[in-house]
This record gives sequence, structure tokens and C-alpha cells, in this order.
Amino acid sequence: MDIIIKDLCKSYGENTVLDSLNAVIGKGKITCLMGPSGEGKTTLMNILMGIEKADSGAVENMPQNKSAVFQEDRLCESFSAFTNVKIANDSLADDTIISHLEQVGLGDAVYQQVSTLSGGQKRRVALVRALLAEKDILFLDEPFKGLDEDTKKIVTGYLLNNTADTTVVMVTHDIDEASALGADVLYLKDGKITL
Amino acid sequence: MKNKSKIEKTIAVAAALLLWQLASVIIGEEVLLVSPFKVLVRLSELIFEKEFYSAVAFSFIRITFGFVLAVAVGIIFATAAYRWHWAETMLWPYMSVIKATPVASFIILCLIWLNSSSLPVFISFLMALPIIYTNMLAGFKSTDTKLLQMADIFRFSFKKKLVYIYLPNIKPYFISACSVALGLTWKAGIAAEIIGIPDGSMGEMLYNAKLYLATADLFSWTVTIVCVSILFDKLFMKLINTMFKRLEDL
Ligand SMILES: Nc1ncnc2c1ncn2[C@@H]1O[C@H](COP(=O)(O)OP(=O)(O)OP(=O)(O)O)[C@@H](O)[C@H]1O
Ligand SMILES: [Mg+2]
Repeated sequence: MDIIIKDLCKSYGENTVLDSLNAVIGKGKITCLMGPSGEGKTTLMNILMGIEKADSGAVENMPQNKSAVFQEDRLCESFSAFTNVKIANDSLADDTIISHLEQVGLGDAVYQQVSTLSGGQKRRVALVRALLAEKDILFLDEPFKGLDEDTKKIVTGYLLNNTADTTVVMVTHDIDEASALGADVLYLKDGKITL
Repeated sequence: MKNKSKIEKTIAVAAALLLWQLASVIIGEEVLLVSPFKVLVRLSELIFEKEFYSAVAFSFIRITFGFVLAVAVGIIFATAAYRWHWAETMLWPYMSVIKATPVASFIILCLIWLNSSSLPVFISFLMALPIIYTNMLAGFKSTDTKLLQMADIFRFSFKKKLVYIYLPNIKPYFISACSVALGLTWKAGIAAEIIGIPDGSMGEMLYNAKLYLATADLFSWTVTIVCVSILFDKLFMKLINTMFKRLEDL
């Protein structure tokens, strides 16, 4: 069933971020959330994920098992890339983890401590972790942040290969990214979806 | 780089010893300031006496026991205080009082309540407990809430959260707390022994040195205490580090 967002409101003090927002997120589809910086995209994602509470309104048909690439990497820095992926899903075979890390160009960094990885490498570890976790819905907040054009292409392909039939909500600032993924686009402005 | 600093340190120590020797020559009164050479001679006599080892063992066992007890209780209390706000509130008056009370008051109180041979255990326990507790709790509280949110999204078990999020964050707090607490337990523990004078303790040896104005003995015992406490500090830190490594490899 599609996820239905009804009259969602959220303010921080005087700052009204979401103002009676309504939207539908298609089950098994990729939905891109776009809009200017500071308009409340991350806030909306956090409410959908259950990390933050809305002031009022409702979200219907949200699946139980969630997975995410957060706006920040949120990795366990003192552990290896491999361990970070493994602990998000114990049932994974070691070979699967290694092969996925190789697919995004991290073959040489599998057992490297995350704190020593570059920004773009960390981003890819976070992405592999999110894609290999058990999930019915996947949240991606600017997942390609810090990646160069070539790497972005590889990672976009990787994402498409591994999200068939998964419901994906993704924040992006790049309309080309959205069309490369064949995504539905929701445009957030003034606390509402305006498209 | 490391070698260079070692050489520099050796030179500094040699210079300090030389200054000490010079001062003792100028003063010319052995009771006031004994020469480092005399201390070395006295120390080399002491280490052939059975009493020396029994005194070291006496104090070492009691002070270490008090310290280890404080680490265990401190960890349990800090975990409880982090988990339940009321536990932190209920513990607050005790911890504040223990922290602010002069050691001497505790020593006298312990002498009234207990016998003098268990005195160093309690004093070192009381000195270390608030340090371990406060630092561990600060470590827990400074854990990144964003990482904890991530753990909830990926449905981490409690054990996973502990090993991959809490422990790496607490580790530096815990290590520095142990290091500070260890130094303090030795100082306070020996001070307690000097006041309580339990039979066969290092404190008693120091007390006797004072009684007979045996400055060489005083210095020799002091050197011994410093050496034993530094040695134990090094050993204990090694142990802690391997323990954390084990946990991380789990
Ligand atoms: N915890 C908070 N406390 C107070 N204000 C907040 C908090 N979180 C977000 N805000 C405010 O809410 C608004 C929306 O922030 P949000 O992070 O959702 O924007 P965004 O659309 O994700 O921006 P960007 O594209 O830059 O990531 C901003 O004005 C921000 O200052
Ligand atoms: Mg954002």
C-alpha cells in the first residue's frame, strides 16, 4: 500500500517547517524529495523514520523495517567498513559484503578503519550498509554527497540494481539524479509539497 | 623522535639527581636531606629483608582491592545513573559528599568503624569511586545521539549498541579516570596507613621512619611506593587496553 502523509505540521519554536503537508509515496517506487536548503526535507524524513515526532498530522501505512543513509554518515568510526555493514545485518555472508563494497569501488578499503576513509568513501560505506540491511523502505538523504561524477554514475547504477521493488524516499538537489533514477518528484517549499 | 625524548628525559633525571646531591652536600645534615646515594644504599639493604616484601604486599593488596572494587561499583552505578534518571538523582548526594569530604575525616571515621588493617581498602575505594563514576557517566552522556538513532533504525541489540557505540565513546573517559584514580588511591591509601598504622604496612614503615628521624628510610620507602604505583598503573592500563581489544573483536 502507498504511504499517505496527512496534514503533517512541525515547528521549532517560531519556525514553522512543515505546514499541513500532504503527500503520497508510492510503494515499490523511488520518490525524490527536492527543494531549497533549510525547507524541511531532512525534518520530513526524520518524522517518517520515527526519529522525530510531528506536532500534528499522521503517516499511514509506514512499513516496520526501515533502513537509511542519513544526511551525515553516522558510521561507527573506530571499526572497519566491513564491520559497519555486517552489524546492520548479521545474516549477511562475508562474501556478499565484500562483493558489494567492491561494486562501489571500495575493494581496497574493506578492512580499513572507517575513521581513516575519505568523505566520499565513507558515504559509499553508509550506502552499502543501508542497501544490505533488511528493509521494506529505504531513506536516502543526499546519498551521493561528496562523490565525483564518475563515482556517482557507478553508485547510481549500484543503487538501481539493488532497489528493485523497494520503496525508496530520497532527498536530492539534482534534478538529473532524480530522472536518472526514474523517480517521482516531490518539491517541498514553504512547508508544503508544491508539485 | 621517541629515542630523542628518551635521551632528553634521562638527562633531566640525571640533572635532578645531581641537584639533589648538591643540595644535600650544602645542607650537610643527613636528617634534613639525605643524599641520593645514601637512599640507594639503604634501598639495596631493604630489598634483602623479608619485611620489605610483606609490607609492599600488605599495602598493595589492600589499595588495589579498594581500587578494583571502586571500578566495579563505579561502572554499575554509572550505568544505572545513565539508564534511570532517578538513580542519578539518588546517587548525587553521596557522590557530592564523598568528593568534598577531606580524606582525613574519612580516615578517622573508618578508624572508629573498622579495624586499621581494612582502612586502606576503604580509603582507596572512597577516593576512586566518585572519579570512576563521574567520568563513566560523562562518557555515557556524551555518546552521539545521532549514532543511537542510527542504531535504532538498524534495530541494534543492546549488546551491539554497547560494543559498537557506547564502549568506543567511553573508552578514553574510562582510561583517564582510572589513571587519575589510581594515583590518588596510592596517595590517600598510604596517608591512611600512616594515621591508622596497621601492623606490617608500608604506612607503618613510613611512620617509624618519622619516629626515628630515619630520613634515608623515609626516602627509600617513598621511592618504593612511587615505583610500585607506577608499575601497577602501567600494568593496569595494559590490561584495560587488551580488555577493550577483546570486546571489539567480539
Ligand atoms: N532540532 C532542531 N531545532 C531547531 N530547528 C531545527 C532543528 N532541526 C531543523 N531545524 C530547522 O528546521 C528547518 C529545516 O531543516 P532541515 O534540516 O529539515 O532542512 P533541509 O531541507 O534538510 O535542508 P538541507 O537541504 O540544507 O539539508 C531549518 O530552518 C532548521 O534550522
Ligand atoms: Mg537536509
